[in-house]
Amino acid sequence: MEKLTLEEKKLDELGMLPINHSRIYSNLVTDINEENKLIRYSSKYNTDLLRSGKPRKIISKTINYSLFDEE
Amino acid sequence: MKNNLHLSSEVIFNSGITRGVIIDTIRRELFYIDNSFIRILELIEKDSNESFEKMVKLVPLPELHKFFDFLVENELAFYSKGPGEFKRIDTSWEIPLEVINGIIDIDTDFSFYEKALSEFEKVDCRELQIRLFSDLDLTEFQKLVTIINQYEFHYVEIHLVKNSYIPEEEIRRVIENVWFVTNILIYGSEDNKIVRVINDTGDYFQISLGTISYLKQSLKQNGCGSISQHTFTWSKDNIRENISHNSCLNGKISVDRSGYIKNCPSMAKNFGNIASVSFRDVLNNNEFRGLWLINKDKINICKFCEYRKICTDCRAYLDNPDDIYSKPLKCGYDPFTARWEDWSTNPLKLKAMSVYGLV
Ligand code: SF4
Ligand code: SF4
Repeated sequence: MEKLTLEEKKLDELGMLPINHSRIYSNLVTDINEENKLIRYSSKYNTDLLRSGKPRKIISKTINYSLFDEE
Repeated sequence: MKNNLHLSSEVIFNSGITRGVIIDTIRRELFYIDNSFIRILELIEKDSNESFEKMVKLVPLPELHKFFDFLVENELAFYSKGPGEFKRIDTSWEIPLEVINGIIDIDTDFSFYEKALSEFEKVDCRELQIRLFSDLDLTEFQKLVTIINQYEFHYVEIHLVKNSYIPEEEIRRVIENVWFVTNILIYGSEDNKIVRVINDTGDYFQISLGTISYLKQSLKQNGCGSISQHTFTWSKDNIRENISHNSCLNGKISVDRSGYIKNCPSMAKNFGNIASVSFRDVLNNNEFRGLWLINKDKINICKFCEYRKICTDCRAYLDNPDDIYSKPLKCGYDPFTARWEDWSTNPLKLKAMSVYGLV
């Protein structure tokens, strides 16, 4: 979550935003060319896939997961 | 109720033998409550006309109002003017995949590696963990990476033993160049640290390509299976899966270091060697698939535990090695006292620990 900044806004500044969006985070934009490198066309699935940084679920439990709490 | 109270769609709850728990899956928070309030939550969920009368019979009115306030304050529930169309979380689980993930263990024999990868690809396994138990030299490591790069996976993590032959730049290069390898873990390191492989894009937001995790602990096959609050799952998809299936073994197929096909490499039972048996044959075997359906409601002790919907499981290391429905050995939680303790010092676990070579 590095480089995310919390924006403090007064209620009237939020205009028509739904009220459940009371906390808004913003960050720098990414370089679109670099971002595109995370996407790859898969001929097997006939679709674009996004690079995955984590498994869908823990595959095995050989490590001490307390080290990864902030991840 | 003047207004209708609805539970937030991201909230689930569960009763245990001593207490109940409300799970906020988005904020990853747990709220412990008395089991009588679990009944109240069930009635809120039902949202029928008679619900409120039933609630008042269960809990005195002032306490009930306090509980509603607590739910609303913590954004676990909200009021609406009318009944509304607020759908609750759907707990049924389906996935268009037969195999969800796989493990390949490799020691000094690499002969079955390619065959295993092609079997994983044939059954459309997208997520893979490769655990390399021996000291590889750079050429061997590069060869393994070149081979896997010829296959198509979505996520691959590599677990390695620290050695001096594979420099950090090489590990980085793998994450930068092999699209689906995003996590490499190095055991036996001097310190515990996680290094992100960042694509440095100047003033732009940095894109993380993956992580290298340095771990002090050693890579041991019988080191798997530890359960704690850190292994709880918060993803709704995983929670739905846990409710009806085994959270670790469902959709898993593994190849141990001798090439034997197993539910998990740590288990004794094998279903034939990869040299002569295909994954398809194993996937059609009822005994192999039977373990996928052992959910926490079927496991002794876990079935009384308030964490059972979010807890992961282990069927390889058990309190009673002769009973497949026994509680995971490496869990230190006792739902009857609601206390966590160090499982490895529990004298009642000693016998099982010696069976698994853990003492
Ligand atoms: S069943 Fe246990 S030992 Fe096997 S992968 Fe799962 S947690 Fe690890
Ligand atoms: S008793 Fe079972 S469900 Fe509860 S924390 Fe331990 S392993 Fe998980």
